[in-house]
Amino acid sequence: MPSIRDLFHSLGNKHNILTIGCGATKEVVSECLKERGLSKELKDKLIEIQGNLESIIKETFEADKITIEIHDRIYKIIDPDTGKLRGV
Amino acid sequence: MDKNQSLKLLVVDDEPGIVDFTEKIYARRGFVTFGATDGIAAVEIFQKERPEISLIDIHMPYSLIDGIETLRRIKQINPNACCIMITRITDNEAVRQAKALGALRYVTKPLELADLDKVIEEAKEKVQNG
Repeated sequence: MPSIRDLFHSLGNKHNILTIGCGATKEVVSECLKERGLSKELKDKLIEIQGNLESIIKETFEADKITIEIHDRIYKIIDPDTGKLRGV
Repeated sequence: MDKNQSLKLLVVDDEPGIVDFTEKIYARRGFVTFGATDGIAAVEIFQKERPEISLIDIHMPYSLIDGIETLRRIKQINPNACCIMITRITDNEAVRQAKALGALRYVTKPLELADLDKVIEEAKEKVQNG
């Protein structure tokens, strides 16, 4: 079973993949939007996708802040390597 | 010709997905990219390819050497190597060590692409202006 330290490390990495990945995808969508002759319907869909990606990025930053708070609280009471309560 | 053409960028992170994404993003921007998921491989690539810019994750528990030791070895090969360190907010001591070893900048995870672009642009200017 992975340790608490491993789990928090992995979680942080996943947040990083989400923010970088969504940022890169948003960039590709922006380039698509610059293409000439797009129908209004298609433009609106692309703009909506951009908004969705932006939401994922914002929510991921929020999730990461909460993860750090939980990290600090857990590390105070549980040894992250052994999973055992401290001082017991 | 792309303005970043021929500049080499080394991406070092123990999460393969990050390495893959970051390499693809900066290859699209014209960099010649290299990736490593551990410090030892990163130093070997650095020795062989001499990238102008290296992006190094500090905390790599699955690597034989962490990002700080990777930075130290890269600086031994080239003291002028332009290295950007990636860290979590909680890694204050590691940031202090990275600065002492001559890292150009550090950025905190999770990374926003625009922020990463800014520090890489700064590194690029430093490389191009000597």
